[in-house]
Amino acid sequence: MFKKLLKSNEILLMILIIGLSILFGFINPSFLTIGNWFNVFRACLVLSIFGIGVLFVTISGGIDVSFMAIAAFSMYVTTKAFIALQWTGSIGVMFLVSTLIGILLGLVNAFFITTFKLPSFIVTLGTQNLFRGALLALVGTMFLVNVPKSMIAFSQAQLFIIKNSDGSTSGLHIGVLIVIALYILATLLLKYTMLGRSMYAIGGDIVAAKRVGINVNLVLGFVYGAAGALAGFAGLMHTALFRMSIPSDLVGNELTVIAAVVLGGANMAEGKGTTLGALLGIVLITIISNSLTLLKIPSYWQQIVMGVIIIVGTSIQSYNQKKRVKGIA
Amino acid sequence: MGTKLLELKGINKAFYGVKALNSVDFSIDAGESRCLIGENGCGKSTLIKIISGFYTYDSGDIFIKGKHYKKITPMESIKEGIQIIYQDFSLFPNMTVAENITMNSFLSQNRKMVNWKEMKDVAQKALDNLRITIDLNTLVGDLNVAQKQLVAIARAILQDAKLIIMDEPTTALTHKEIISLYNIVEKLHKKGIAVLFVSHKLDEVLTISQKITVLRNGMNVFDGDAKDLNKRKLIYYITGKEIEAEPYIFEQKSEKPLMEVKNLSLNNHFSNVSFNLMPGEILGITGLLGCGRTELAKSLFGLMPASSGEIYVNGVRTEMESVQDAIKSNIGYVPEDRLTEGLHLEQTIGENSVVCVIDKLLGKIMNLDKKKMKLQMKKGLNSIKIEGMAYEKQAKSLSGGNQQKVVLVKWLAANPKILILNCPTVGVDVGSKSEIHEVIKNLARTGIGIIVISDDIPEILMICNRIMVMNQGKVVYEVLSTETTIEELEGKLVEEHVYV
Repeated sequence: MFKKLLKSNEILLMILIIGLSILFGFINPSFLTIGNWFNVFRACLVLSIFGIGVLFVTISGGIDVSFMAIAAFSMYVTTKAFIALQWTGSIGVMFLVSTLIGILLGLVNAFFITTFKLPSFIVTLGTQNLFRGALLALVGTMFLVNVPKSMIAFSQAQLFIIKNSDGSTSGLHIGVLIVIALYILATLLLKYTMLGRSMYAIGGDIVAAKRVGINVNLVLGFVYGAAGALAGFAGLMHTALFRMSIPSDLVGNELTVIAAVVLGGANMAEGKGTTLGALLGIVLITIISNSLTLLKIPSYWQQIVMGVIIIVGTSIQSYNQKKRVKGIA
Repeated sequence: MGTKLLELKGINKAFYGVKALNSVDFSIDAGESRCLIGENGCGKSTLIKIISGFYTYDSGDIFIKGKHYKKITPMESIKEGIQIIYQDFSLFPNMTVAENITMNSFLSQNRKMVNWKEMKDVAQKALDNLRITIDLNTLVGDLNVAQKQLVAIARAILQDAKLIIMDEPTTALTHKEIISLYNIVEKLHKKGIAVLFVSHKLDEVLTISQKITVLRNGMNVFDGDAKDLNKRKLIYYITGKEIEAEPYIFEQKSEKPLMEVKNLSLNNHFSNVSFNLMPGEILGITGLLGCGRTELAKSLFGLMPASSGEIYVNGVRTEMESVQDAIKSNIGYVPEDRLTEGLHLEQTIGENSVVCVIDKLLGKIMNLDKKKMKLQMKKGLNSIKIEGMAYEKQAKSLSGGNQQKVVLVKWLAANPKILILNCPTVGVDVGSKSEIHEVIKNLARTGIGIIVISDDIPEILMICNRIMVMNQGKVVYEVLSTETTIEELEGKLVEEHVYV
């Protein structure tokens, strides 16, 4: 039983996260302060919402590299429109609009993938450039800083606040609740609905899924639509947290999220993945980048470390996989 | 006679003016086991796709339990209880056994939610019903082929199958697994479920089916009781000609063995295997799946280097550490699974035929010399008759038997002195099979030493002059093919298996 647990990817990740935290805590005690952990959680918020979308796509056997471009497009267009409206109402409406734009752009991906049976990588590579180009060429390139008041309020909304030893205060952002709610929803969807199981089925064997009578196009439409929606939502949250919208932001960081989800055990070739794994993968990557910053390691070196971790992590997984298959054969 | 479960009358189907089915009559009773047999391209798959509703037919009538269908859709076919188990089983490797068994029926009930407990109960009942034990929580990707097949059968029954069509169900099964499949079919029979096999293996067809339908060139040329047929008659109906196969007679030309193997062992796979291979000899190695026969072949070819023991080629001690070593010793290997290991299916037939000697076809500046390549293609592909062959056609356009011939051509290009063939005729129809056998015998007559690995005992007896039986990694029996019979060898396999 214990051995089986050790082989579970989620447990391995937890051990790794705890081990690394202790190690970083030794090197720099400020890493283990509650204030820093609140920072880590805040840094996880946006990435972990992207993570759900990436997880859906990966489980259904695809790869999406356009979600950051969708996020940038949705957040910037929404912010610009609401600034023009001199919006004073709730930020909820802004989230809704950004999410809807995200769905539309996600459905563009779904349309090309299902109608022309194109590989998802090619389609989303194309739409990534398309959405980003359209945003910068048609919508604008200016940084938006005078964002609606409700956005600023949101960025400061803390669940609770604690006093640090040096007298400053740190808060746990309210977005944590949103992320937890989204992850619970995603878990229920994947585990207990036919739609969720159909996503696994398509990732496992798309031909068999068709023969079984799954409406593959409909399910893939949902998958890419949902990935778009989550990207739109996460994008707006990104803008709100930083209190400004930068159109050239986000794009370029797709692989960090994809790598985190893959570290979490998701596998597009086999239609595998869990929400817990994806979340732990995101936390792990965020912790590493957070602690490297605390250790004052230059950002180029951080990239090197990140690259090594991704390669080693995925290699260990693939090795375990092979061992398991061999052990049975 | 009451109404038939399924009856097809005067079915015609043409693709682009080419007749695939020519007024075919076909019927099956409830609980009947029938076999549909014929060479590649005879219309078998077309017929099955018509029954399952994937193809429409040009003219004719279908009756299911007396109900007349002028047209039938896949959904209607499933609703009438017709289930197909494809060769690849159409299972989801990333899901558990329980989920795979229940997926189809839950989907057709139009469910939106998943109740894992109910799923397991339903799946467990389906397995109990067939008296099969497989752990419900195992991922299907971790099962062996036989277990996957059982899962597919359980899934079909759960959907109220009245007729289960199995496409080449025994191709990847071992002897023992085939016997347990027969038992399952017997159980289905008792439940009143009809089974239609599509198969290439003649002996099997004759033992398991009550009725046989033979298609040839889109026509039903035989329809009747299996007991009215013997193998010779069956071959005649399938091919339309008498195939007179003669056993291989080995004439010893030299005293010096081509290959000597002494106490070869590979951890957990086989141990202390010793044998000699003379020039012109065809040595058969048989045994159940997992007996170490494939690993032995791979060791001889350097794919899985042996952990101890000695290999001599032409009297010279040779270390088979890699494929390069084996190729240097003029050994060729034709793998079991030609689709994944033997051919580049997307490439042309011509390119496939020269791939082993590509380094000899280079020009002055290491470029491919097109002229030399053409010459080599001609030389190779003219040596064996391959139907439907054109140099520039993709390899995947050929039928299984003809693909296997291309694999042979490919290895012969390198002029091997020793050729190892792993299951050379799996999934190949009778006509092509006897052609491949002729090719193998002719090669041996030129002095090449050949090792054939196969669990097809009639085949081994027909083409080999000497046979070794492997069991649990050891050679347990060795005999000249003239001094044994099918019954003795099959008995050996089963008997050994019981005692181990």
